[in-house]
Amino acid sequence: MIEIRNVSKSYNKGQLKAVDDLSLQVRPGEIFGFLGPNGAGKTTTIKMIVGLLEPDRGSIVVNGYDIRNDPIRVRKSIGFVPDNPSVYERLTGIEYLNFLGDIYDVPQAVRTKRAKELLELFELTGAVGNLIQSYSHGMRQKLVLIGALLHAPDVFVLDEPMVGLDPRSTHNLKEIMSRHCQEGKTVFFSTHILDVAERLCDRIGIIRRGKLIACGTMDELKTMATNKETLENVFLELTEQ
Amino acid sequence: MKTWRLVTLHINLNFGLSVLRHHWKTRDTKLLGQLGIAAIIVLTGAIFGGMYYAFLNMTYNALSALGHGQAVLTMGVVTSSLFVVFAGLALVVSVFYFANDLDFLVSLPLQPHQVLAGKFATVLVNAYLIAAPFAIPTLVLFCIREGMGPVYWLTSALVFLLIPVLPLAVASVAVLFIMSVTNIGRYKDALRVVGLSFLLMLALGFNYLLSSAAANTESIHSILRDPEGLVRMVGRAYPPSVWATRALNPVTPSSGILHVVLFAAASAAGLALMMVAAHYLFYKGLIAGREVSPGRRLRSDEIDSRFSRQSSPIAAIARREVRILVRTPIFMFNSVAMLVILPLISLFAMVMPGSDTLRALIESGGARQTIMLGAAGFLATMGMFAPSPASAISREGKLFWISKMIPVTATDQLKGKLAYSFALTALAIPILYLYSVLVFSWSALEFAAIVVFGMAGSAPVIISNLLIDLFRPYLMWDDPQKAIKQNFNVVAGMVVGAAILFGLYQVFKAALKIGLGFWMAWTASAALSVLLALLMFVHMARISDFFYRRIQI
Repeated sequence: MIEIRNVSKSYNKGQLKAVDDLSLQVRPGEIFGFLGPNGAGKTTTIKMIVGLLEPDRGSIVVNGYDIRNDPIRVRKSIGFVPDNPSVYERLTGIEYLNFLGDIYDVPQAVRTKRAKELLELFELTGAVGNLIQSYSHGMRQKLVLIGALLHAPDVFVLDEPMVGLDPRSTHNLKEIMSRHCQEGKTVFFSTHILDVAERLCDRIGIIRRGKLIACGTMDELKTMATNKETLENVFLELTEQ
Repeated sequence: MKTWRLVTLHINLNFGLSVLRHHWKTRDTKLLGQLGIAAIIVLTGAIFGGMYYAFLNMTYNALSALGHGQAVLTMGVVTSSLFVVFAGLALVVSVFYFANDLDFLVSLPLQPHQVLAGKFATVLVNAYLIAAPFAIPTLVLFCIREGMGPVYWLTSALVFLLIPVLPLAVASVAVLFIMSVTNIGRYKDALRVVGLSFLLMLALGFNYLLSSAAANTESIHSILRDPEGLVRMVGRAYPPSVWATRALNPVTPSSGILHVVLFAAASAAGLALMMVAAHYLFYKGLIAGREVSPGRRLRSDEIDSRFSRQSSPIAAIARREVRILVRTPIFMFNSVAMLVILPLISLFAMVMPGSDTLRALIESGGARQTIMLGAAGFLATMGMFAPSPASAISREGKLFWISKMIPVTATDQLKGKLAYSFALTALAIPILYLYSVLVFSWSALEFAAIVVFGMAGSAPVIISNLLIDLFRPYLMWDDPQKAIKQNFNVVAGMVVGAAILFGLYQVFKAALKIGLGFWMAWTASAALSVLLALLMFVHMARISDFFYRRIQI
């Protein structure tokens, strides 16, 4: 569960308001899609949810823990995939996963089983012994995904996770997200692929200039626009205003 | 024109001129911080320069009495050039081969030597900063003491501008060569570190041999009888320094002009050689370095075995730090240079024939304890350098997001970094053992005492340096060298570390003064050192979470 209450964040001494009094709730067992034009405040919001940035105002509660008061518990329950899969290039894939396994306290048997399954699923088994430096963008993205899932987090937060993934891996990721929410866990992700958001998400939030301008199920969003055919039409209409 | 655009672009990026302008426009308080840091760097340079000036002044007094005052000019040029080579080598490697913008630059329609010219400009500007604390005091001192006129000022400005060019160009050619021939399979990073270390040892060893040969072959009388004897002797380490001396203090005006032209021509030749070498070797080494040969596919049982162990988060962090250090050539080279090369060169100097005076000093009873104290001091100093804990957080750079994300308290993360810093400092112990076997013949007890007291001395140095980086880590670097050598925290760490060790030494001296024996005085200062380290650690544990949270990336 993620609960964002009246969160604001600005840069340049308040001159640029990246997120402006944002409130939303993502329930357990829900896939929540977070949409918005470039520079709307999606990444800033996500960074605040996972604790990379501190809000100027408001509070964020993840799985019942406040990010400000209980950051370690929040981090334990989150699996995060950033928009840019930068990881330690001078480690091998397996060393990176082992590092995360130690950090998240994943027992050896569980870590081996889970990692092997995910490596097979994302077709990364052959490369896991190599330095990450030798990986393509997509392979790094897959490794970060596997690392984020290694400790079976209750809340899965992804910032544009499909960028750089091949079609099969995109399909597998969508499967994982669905399975995750069927297990009663929470998925929060941002994307520009409206088609995916439309088909995958239980609810969608649209942010523009730091403000949440729409939030609800696909049907609810359609009621807010005149051209209700696709999410793309709804998105274009709402973000143009 | 394109080359000039690249030069200005790189200088802008290196000194963050656009960032400063942006901070000025947005009235960002970071501007004040950056200006403050710049002021501290200038002040530190000025203090260093002042100390060097005082040393030169004493040397000048002694030499001018013998009619050899101009030898200080040669000494100044040789010292600046040596420092440029020593500090510039790692800088050249980092800027030429590991900067983040290289992939982009290679894709542009530019010749290799044009790209390299832009990179060289960055290194050169930094080399002026390295040379300035040695060159400027020398030039100023000679002017004041000899009452030189405006021609001297003009010539000295020109000489100062030329001083780093040739050593840096020669170092660049050597680096271009090493990087193009060490592209051998999966181990090229290791080979490059070995190659560069060898190059540095060669440069310092060659310099040492030349100057000691000069001292041995000519009698002190014949050196002093010839008005230029001392200049020539010092200049053997680096012959262009003699031209610089003759340009600054000419016998006749025409001789002055001739030697300025000679010095400038040598620098221009060095640059030309570098550009030619760049044309043929730069992309060869650069592109080869970016190729990463994938290893073989792991079998299922191999994957199982590699997931075999589970360890604590602190151990995992320490292991990660060591792996990244060992596999990042520029981090490794900086550590190896400090930990291995310099101690080995001085060991070499001690065991070389002709080091009889030093041996006699070592064998005398009083010096033995002083040398043991020095050895422990060396070990403690390595805590600052190997590699600097003052860059332990900075080195994470943009990957610091991982440290912010993982469910490990900041204190535990810092414990991992401390464990790693102590482990690396301990790598200096085998070198001390070599000193013991080959030179000092310490007993087992003496050697153990050196190790224990040295490591005790390193504790507050390491923790204070880590604290400095915690207060203000420099994470937005675009080439790894900036995280270590061009990181203000490292300079501040050295100053603080030196102050701590100086303070401990004063405690040791005070303990001797009040009648405690050598061993008791040593134990007292080591105990104080441990106490200081504990206090710092407790303070660090108290504030670390707050500071980690404050770092936003």
